[in-house]
Amino acid sequence: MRTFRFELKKLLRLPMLWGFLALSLALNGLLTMTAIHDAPWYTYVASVLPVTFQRTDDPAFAAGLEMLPAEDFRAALAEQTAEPVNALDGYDAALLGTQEAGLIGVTGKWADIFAQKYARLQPIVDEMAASGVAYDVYAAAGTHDYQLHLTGILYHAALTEALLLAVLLTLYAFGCEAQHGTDLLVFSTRAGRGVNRAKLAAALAASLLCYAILCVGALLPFAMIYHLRDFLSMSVSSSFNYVVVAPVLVKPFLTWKPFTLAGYLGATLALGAALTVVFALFAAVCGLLLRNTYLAFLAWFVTAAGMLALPVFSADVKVWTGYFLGMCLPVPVWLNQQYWFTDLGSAAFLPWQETVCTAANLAAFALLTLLALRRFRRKDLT
Amino acid sequence: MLTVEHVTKKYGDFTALEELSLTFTEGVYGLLAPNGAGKTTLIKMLTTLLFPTAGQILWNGTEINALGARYRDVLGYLPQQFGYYKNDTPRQFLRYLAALKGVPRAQTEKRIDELLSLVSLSDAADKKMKKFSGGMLQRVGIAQAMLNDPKLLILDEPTAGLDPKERVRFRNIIHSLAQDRIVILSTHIVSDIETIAHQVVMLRDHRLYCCEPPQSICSGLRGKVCELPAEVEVHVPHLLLGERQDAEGALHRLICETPPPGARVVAPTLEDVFLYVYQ
Repeated sequence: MRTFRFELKKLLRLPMLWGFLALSLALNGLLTMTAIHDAPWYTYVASVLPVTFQRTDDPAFAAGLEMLPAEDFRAALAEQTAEPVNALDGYDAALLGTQEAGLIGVTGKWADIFAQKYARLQPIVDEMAASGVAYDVYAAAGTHDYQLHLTGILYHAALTEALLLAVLLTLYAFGCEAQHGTDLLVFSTRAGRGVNRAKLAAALAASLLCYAILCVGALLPFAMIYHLRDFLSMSVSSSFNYVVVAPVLVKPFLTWKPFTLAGYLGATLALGAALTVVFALFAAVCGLLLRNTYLAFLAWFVTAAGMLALPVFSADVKVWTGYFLGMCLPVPVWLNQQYWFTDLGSAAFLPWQETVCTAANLAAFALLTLLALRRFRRKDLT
Repeated sequence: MLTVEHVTKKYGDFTALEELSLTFTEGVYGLLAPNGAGKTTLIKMLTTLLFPTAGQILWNGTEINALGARYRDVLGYLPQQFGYYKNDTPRQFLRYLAALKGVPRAQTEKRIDELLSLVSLSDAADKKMKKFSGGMLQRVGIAQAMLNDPKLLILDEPTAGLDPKERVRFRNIIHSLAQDRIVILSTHIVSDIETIAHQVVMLRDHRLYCCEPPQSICSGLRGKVCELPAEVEVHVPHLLLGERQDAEGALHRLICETPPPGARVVAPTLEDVFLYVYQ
């Protein structure tokens, strides 16, 4: 525990860390402000909710709206909610599956697996349709942009920065002794090569701390400016929310279980934390094997680029095993973050793929890290 | 007691040390060999940083890597390239190493103060080490090696790069630390160990050449080292060791089986042996 505290302090004293965090927070602040022109609309919708409640199919909604003073925003909201739509009612998931498969041209065994995913989605769509969650007003016509801005832009930026920081901090944790020439000194002490366990724990703790700072730094201003609290009880599968797959294919926001925005954000934040740990472990393997921060970063970068390239090239040459398994690697999981917990379209062959893959990646990289730690214990330190 | 039994270390096809057997008991051992002879390889094996390709190293009869932390607990080590965190003060740096060495928290501050006083760095205890001279850094190095009051103190080229005054100061510190422990001092600077080593270990061709007291090593050349005026030419088989100045002028120092006419036989030094062995 004492060594862990020293190792953590070593990381937290890095000027680079605080510089990176400050720049990231500044960038996220700018990103937050990019939706400022929509703020009056979000403010208006949030302000009417105590009167109208959240379901557009509830007669109280129209009645409540009627009681409010006449103004442009009231007229717009009344028009958008005049004929409540349940986008999930009668929705054919199998047809969506066929359309998604057609977009990438998947055939054979993988087309069957792909179709099975949508077969498993149908009962959940039916359940959500029956519960009427699609009638939630959320931010009405501004819902798609609101959700996109919140999870697709702002949280994505925070997550990306946190993952990068996790990698850099972990690589530094394992490379700093060689960089300072203190490696022989440190590894010949009582703690010996076991100090790597404290370094790993410190790197993980620092990475998660940075993730928390970045998330709070991104979401708190957003919440204050765009009334997040008022929308937290809304379903993310509201009829006003949608996913543009292709110019000719727009689909509802189909999640594997009914999510309110609060639940969805909570799940996203939790999965993001797990992915941060995966990236830190990924860097730990590189750092332990190479013991040189710069070389290890290069190795990490090349491997990460390879993870991105594998599904792209596999799809080009129609090697579907490579494509779908490639999509399970940490980098594609990160790239698809905006649509986590949804069917993920052509990027997934499994229900809850991002969750399953993150858990599998966590287990795989934890195992690789353990093997790298064991290898290090018998490695000559020249 | 530290025992090296038939230890060989290979890096691929290159043999850095071959069939080395040694026993260390309490006292100061000078490890003397030219650069590249395998001193650092031996020291890194003694400090568990390298693993022998063959043979074993025992501490009181148990293999050191099997002892692991229990062995490193009795070990103090100053590497050849003493690294440090430039923005740390000696006190901060020693606190970190004390944690790694398992020095109880309650004793840490007292121990650090004692050691900084021992190496005459009390006044600089809270100054950043990036401003320190080479000699001051080496003294921090000695202090960290002594943090856990080791039974086995290994110093790899501790005086390299130090000016003569610092070297003398360093030798005095080592001398004061040599009670009740094994001190292994690796160097290629003969004068460092001539005065303080009880035994001198010499390596040649990656093997053990000898492990004897300095007097014993020097006695092999008794009657064979002589000096003669520099004007006299030196021919094979006489081996010229060097030149020095005295009141009568320049003198050649050489080794020969039979002193040439005009030569004065002098007492051999460890440096003579070094030059003779590694000619």
